[in-house]
Amino acid sequence: MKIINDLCLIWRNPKFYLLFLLLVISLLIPFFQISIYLMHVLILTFFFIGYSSSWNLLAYSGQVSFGHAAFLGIGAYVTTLFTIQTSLPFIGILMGAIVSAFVGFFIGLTCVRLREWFLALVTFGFSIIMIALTIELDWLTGGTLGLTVPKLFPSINQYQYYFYYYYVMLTLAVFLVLLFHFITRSKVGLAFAAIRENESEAKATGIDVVKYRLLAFTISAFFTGLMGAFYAHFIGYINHQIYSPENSFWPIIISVIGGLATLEGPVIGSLLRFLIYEFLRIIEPWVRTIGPGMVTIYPKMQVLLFGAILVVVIILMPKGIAPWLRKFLMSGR
Amino acid sequence: MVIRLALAISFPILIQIVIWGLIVGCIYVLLASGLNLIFGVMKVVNFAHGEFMILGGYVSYWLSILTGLNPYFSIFLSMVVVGVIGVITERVCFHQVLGTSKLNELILSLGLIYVLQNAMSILWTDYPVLIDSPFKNMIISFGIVSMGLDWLIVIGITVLIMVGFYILIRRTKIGRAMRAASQNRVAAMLMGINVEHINMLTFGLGTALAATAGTLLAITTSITPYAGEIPALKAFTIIILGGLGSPVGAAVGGLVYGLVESGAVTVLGGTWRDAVGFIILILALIIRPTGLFGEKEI
Repeated sequence: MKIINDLCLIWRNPKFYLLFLLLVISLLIPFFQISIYLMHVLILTFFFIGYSSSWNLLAYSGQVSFGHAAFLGIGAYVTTLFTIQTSLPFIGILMGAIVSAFVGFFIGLTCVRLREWFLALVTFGFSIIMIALTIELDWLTGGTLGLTVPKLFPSINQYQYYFYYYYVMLTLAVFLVLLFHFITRSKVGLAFAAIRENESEAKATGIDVVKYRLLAFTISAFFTGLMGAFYAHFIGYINHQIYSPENSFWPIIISVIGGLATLEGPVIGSLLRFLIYEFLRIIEPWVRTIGPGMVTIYPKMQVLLFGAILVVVIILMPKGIAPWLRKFLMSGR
Repeated sequence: MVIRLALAISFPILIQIVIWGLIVGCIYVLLASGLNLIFGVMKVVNFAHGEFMILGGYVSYWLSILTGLNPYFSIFLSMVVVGVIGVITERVCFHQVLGTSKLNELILSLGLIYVLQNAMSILWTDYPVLIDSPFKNMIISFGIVSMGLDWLIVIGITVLIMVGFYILIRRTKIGRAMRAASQNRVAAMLMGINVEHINMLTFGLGTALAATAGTLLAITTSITPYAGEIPALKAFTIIILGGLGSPVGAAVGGLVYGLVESGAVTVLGGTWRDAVGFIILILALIIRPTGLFGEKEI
């Protein structure tokens, strides 16, 4: 009943119309014969929406992980190994998510009593340990050479594969955002928010802090593993690089720029990331005319720009773009 | 692994492990001490500390290339340069988020990692850089133990700087002000200490210590713009294990950690270099969630 009630209320929310418009546009995009490169980037954008949303759910409960790539990688490796053995990719993806959730539960168990930056260090360390473990167990994981991941479904050519995968990722992203919408609206979500705002007060009101923190960790790890599995089938190749710190840091950058612990934050952040990268790509020929050295420097300047945006956002508007955008939309009504 | 373990037990290799552990340990001591100072006084968690270390290495590299200065003298110049950059960073970035949530500091330092790494990569490319020491080929041997003169100087400089650091913290007025600010900021302010100045000085001193570590790293092995990220987090591991805010813990912890890492690399192989510290950290935090020795004042 609560869900139906929520759905009725959603019509009054101006945010909804914006999201609806975005959804319609993204459903129609593949029919415009866009280049395979743009297709790739858009699929990755949806991947980042799902991945960052999973990360953000953990942040919603006040726990900030600096090593979510570990769960991403576990999901990816489990589905790859399972699919190679049995050629049943969808069961493999589910297995990946479950194993990831299982590992997440145990990492959460070591983290529940830690303060926030110990937690960041432990999760980061865990992703580094996973790198070493993956290289060491090369008979299983292929070591640094990595593994070729079977396709999720057969297709005539790359473009057709991307065409279908586009909808797979879009569905996933929308599903995760909606799911997290309902989770944050539920009693569980309220408990998460209470723990984030003030742990001791949450404890005083009778919330089982350990239980809810573990729950947040497990849910987040489950969906991160799921996204990792879908990512592996999309890219078609994995090695230990999937555990790299960059993969752990992207959801942080995206969520913080969009809005930490808000539902729309990851969506805004991912879209912004996409737009900034596309803008930088469009102006690239112009930048190249500055000097021959720009070819090697330009990609680094792009990453530097994202670091600088992160610094500016955290100093000037620590809550990210989402609250600002919300206020803007509300005032327009 | 068993063969590697058997090899490690033999005496000459054990000596090599210890010597290499001491060298690596020296770098960790300097890095962890700077980090510990910043954390102890300002309670700031700066994950970008390793980038200041690498920056120090590159500044020394530039000084020794451009002016032909002996790299061991350029350490002191690069300390000043990186210290000034550290003070600016404190003013522009960390000062703005001080006193808000720890999360903001973490994410701010994450952004700084990206900014500094890529700025260094643009300035000095991605190729590993090694500072040429004039004593490169000199080897000193004591009986069966033989080591490069460079390594001896590295240990000597670390001891020198740590002694100077200790005197600064324990024997001077500035050091007393820092310790006061570490114990109680409000009370320190009421006693007429300008806490903002102390913050700037602390951050500058901490990053200067990191710059020393970076120069020594560039002399003994080599540096790339991305080499600082993981050592900084290992240094956090060290100060958590050694007791947060405890200078002795940071120094002893750094040395012990260097030896442990050196041993682990020999026994388990280079793959585990970065993982070992974090395994120890996770095990320690399972036993004591607040760190092995809790929190102390400088």
